[in-house]
Amino acid sequence: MEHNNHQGWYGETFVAAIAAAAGFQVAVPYPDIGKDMILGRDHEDPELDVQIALQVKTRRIGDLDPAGGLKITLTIDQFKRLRGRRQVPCYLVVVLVPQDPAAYVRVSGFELVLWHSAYWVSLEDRPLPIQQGQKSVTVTVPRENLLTVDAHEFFHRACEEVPAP
Amino acid sequence: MTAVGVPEPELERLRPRDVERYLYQRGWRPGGRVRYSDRWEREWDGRPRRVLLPLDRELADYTDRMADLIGALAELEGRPPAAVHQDLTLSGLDVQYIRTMPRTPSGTIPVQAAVLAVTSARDLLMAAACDTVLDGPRLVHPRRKPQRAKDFVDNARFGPSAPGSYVFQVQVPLPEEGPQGHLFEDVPEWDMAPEPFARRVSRRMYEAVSAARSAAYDADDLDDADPFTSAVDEGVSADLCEALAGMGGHDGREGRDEASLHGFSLSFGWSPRWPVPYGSGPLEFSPRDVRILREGAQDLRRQAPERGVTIVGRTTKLKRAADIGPGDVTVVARLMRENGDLVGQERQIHIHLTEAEYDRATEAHRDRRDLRIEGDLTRRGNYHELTRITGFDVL
Repeated sequence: MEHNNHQGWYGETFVAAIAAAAGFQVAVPYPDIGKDMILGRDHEDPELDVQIALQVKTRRIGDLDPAGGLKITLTIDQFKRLRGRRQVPCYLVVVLVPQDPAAYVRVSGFELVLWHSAYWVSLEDRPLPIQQGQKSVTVTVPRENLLTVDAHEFFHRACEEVPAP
Repeated sequence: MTAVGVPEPELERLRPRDVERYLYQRGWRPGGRVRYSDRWEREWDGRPRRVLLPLDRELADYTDRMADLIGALAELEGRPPAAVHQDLTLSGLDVQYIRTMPRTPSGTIPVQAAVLAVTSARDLLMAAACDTVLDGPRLVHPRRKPQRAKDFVDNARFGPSAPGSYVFQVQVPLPEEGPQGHLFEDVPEWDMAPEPFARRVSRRMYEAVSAARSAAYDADDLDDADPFTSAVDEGVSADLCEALAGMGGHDGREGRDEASLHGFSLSFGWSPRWPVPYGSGPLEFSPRDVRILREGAQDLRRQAPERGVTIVGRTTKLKRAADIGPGDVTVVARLMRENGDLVGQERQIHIHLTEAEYDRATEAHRDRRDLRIEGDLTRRGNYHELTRITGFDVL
């Protein structure tokens, strides 16, 4: 597999593994315009029957300067598909992966270790860039938003009740 | 194009309230709120089902969520998503389906018949709108149409044709409901704003076409056009009958036999935004009815008064039951044009006069002088009648 494709596919699987452990089903939308995966929970309790959409980006460790958060440049179209109030919250997830695909996972008789880590950010409240003709937007994904199985804000935000205006 | 095959701008146009009504009428009931959406629930094949209805059209994913909803409904109802979408878009419209049955293969219609049906559909809208606007029923509507009726016709449109015979779909958009009021409170189905004009016209159209349907039956039975005259109070007019006859292929030319006409039916679809008129089943017309409708129209036109006519002539008969009070006169007269020319044949015209007018008519008769009288002229069998007198002079 070509390196970039391999890295992208692995990044999505990395997120899917965490989502699965958190009790979410994973669907790949078709067509996948602006979203790489949808996490859903078809729960017996309808209050907990929720969906979250994700756009997943991968970066190789060492290619990003981690100081002050992970800086990711999005095209305007990608940015627009992440911002704004949504029924199904849409998050940007950045997965940091090893430089070498051979180092993606480590398997032994008692554990499976996935390398390396994923971070999330919501762009819901970000304004559209004012500058006319701007082609891209750089956003910062905070290092403290580590995606874990119990990332409460991330997984439970979809359940919250929001008053309609 | 979205996942359900409905273009995104079409999804953007869907109104949550219309979708609510669609769901409610099909047995769904609102559950709780999930973020910016209401959850709707019902049992389907013994299993609880739920769908989310986005309530805020400003949501960035409004169209995606509407697509999800349409996709889910289409799957449950076993219909194509486009059919579900079509029903959702029609909920803000009153729709008339004109099913014509020409002799060409199903799904086709001769071009000439189609052109006539299209103009007749417009004329039917205009007839119903005029009848709703004008004060009191008319045998024939004025040539100059009221602006409100013209505006109504301008707003109506043709929807897509449907397979089977040849169906024209006429759509009458209704206004949005007012902001006040909540759905499904005391009387679950309807908490309604006052009936809008467009709905009044659709309803009047149904009543009038229904009355024309009965009049055609009775006229055939009695071999007399009187039933059409009796139905004028229900909205039947020469214009309405001509429009209906046009849908059956009668273009008004003399000598059209039934073999050259075709049957048709009119069905009414009502927007659920306002209460649906009671018992509004399809109304069917045979080729024979088409001919009878056309004859009914002619008869109504013959009876219709010519308004604001001036006649000039001499009294031939004066009749008053008592020494004083109003009386009836017969005048043999001709029509006078605005430029003073007398035109047409002499006619016998019956006129009911006030006491003062009757006295002056008597003097004019004695002095062999002409009368000039203005009013509305109506044909009554072999004589005419002048009513609503607006001018009376002895020449």
